[in-house]
Amino acid sequence: MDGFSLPDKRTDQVILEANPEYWDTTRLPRLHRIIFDNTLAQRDAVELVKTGEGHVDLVSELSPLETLRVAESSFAKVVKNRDNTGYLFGQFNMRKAGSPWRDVRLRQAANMAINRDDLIRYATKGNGVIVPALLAVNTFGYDPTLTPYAFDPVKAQALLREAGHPDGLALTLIAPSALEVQATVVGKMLEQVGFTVERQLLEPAVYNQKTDFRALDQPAEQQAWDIALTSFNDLTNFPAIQPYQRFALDGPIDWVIEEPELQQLYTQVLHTVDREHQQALIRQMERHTRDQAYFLFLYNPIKLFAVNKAVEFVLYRTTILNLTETWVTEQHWSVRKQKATGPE
Amino acid sequence: MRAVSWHACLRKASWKGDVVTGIYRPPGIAEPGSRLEIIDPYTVRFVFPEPDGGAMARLVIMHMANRQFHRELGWGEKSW
Repeated sequence: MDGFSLPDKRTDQVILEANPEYWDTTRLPRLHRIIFDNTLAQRDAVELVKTGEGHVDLVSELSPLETLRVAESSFAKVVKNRDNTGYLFGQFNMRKAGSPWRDVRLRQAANMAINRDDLIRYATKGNGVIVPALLAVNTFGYDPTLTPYAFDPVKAQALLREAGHPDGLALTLIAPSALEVQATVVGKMLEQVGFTVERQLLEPAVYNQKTDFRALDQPAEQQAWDIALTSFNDLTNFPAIQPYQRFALDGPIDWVIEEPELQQLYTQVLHTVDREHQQALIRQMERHTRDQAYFLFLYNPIKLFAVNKAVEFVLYRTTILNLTETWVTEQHWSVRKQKATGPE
Repeated sequence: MRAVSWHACLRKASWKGDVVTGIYRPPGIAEPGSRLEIIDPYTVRFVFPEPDGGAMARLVIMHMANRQFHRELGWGEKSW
């Protein structure tokens, strides 16, 4: 897979065979066999799914730049997961020695420098949804009354001055190489209000060594970067734990020095099993996080897939590639082949 | 019905498939005083000493991988 440079210990293939003896007969698998191919590069897999059949039926993480060519293909279609619980945001490095990002005015200035409509248009060809804070529209705890930071370069410049940087501020923006376009656009927007941006695209393993406390190459206070672009999928749809605990409340990728209020709300969420109460508390977490600008809020990416036309791919909001309900039509190459040659 | 320390129980319950290692556990799941009851071959009940609003979410992200995975790869590489 593109983007991974460490020695790859995966086998060439992972093959899942259907288990017809599964105890829950209402959820028996609808496919006989699923093969995950670890040998194909992303671009090769996309090429195979759109130019033929019998090799690749589904490719995840389709680039927005590829959607038109896939849609024009005779063999493949584009499937969009619009209601997913994924996030794309920036982390401010509040933990490095002498970090200027502990000043909320500076964090707000960065947020006001972002024209999110343009970011989504340029970086994703429209495949993104603006979010007011961290959470996407269909995430548990999303607050529909919360408004995103407005694009306001004049106010951003004023806040930059108020925060003690009348001549602007030089910053280092790091991002995994897969987020190159987003890093470029965000960097340009920050420069428009007075930041001087050094952009660093990092291989994922190196990126982790800069951001993940389980893998840091230097102590947090010696990490020189200022903003780290991050892409994350919440597999739980329970944001108190993911992303909040993970990215802001002593989790493994926490670069936030938060106010006590956020920790108190988090504790309250975990001490109740009343869903309505939980939702109200998470909304308070969102409002507090938005007001404190703990993150550079960007957008909720629409997840894209290239899928063979005879595959009825069933999406999961959490973006898990769970193929339990996915099935194929009579026109699928494997069904046609089985009819021609008889059952295996 | 039995009630035992949850992770030991899960390890025992799954020893045949060798799917639970106990090496990785999200915080909060295996707090002191928590236990797991085996109701029937398809049902278990987690019992916590006090209400835990995050229990279900933690179960979702509780990875179950065999011991070979943890021994040879683990979670550090992140390229699996």
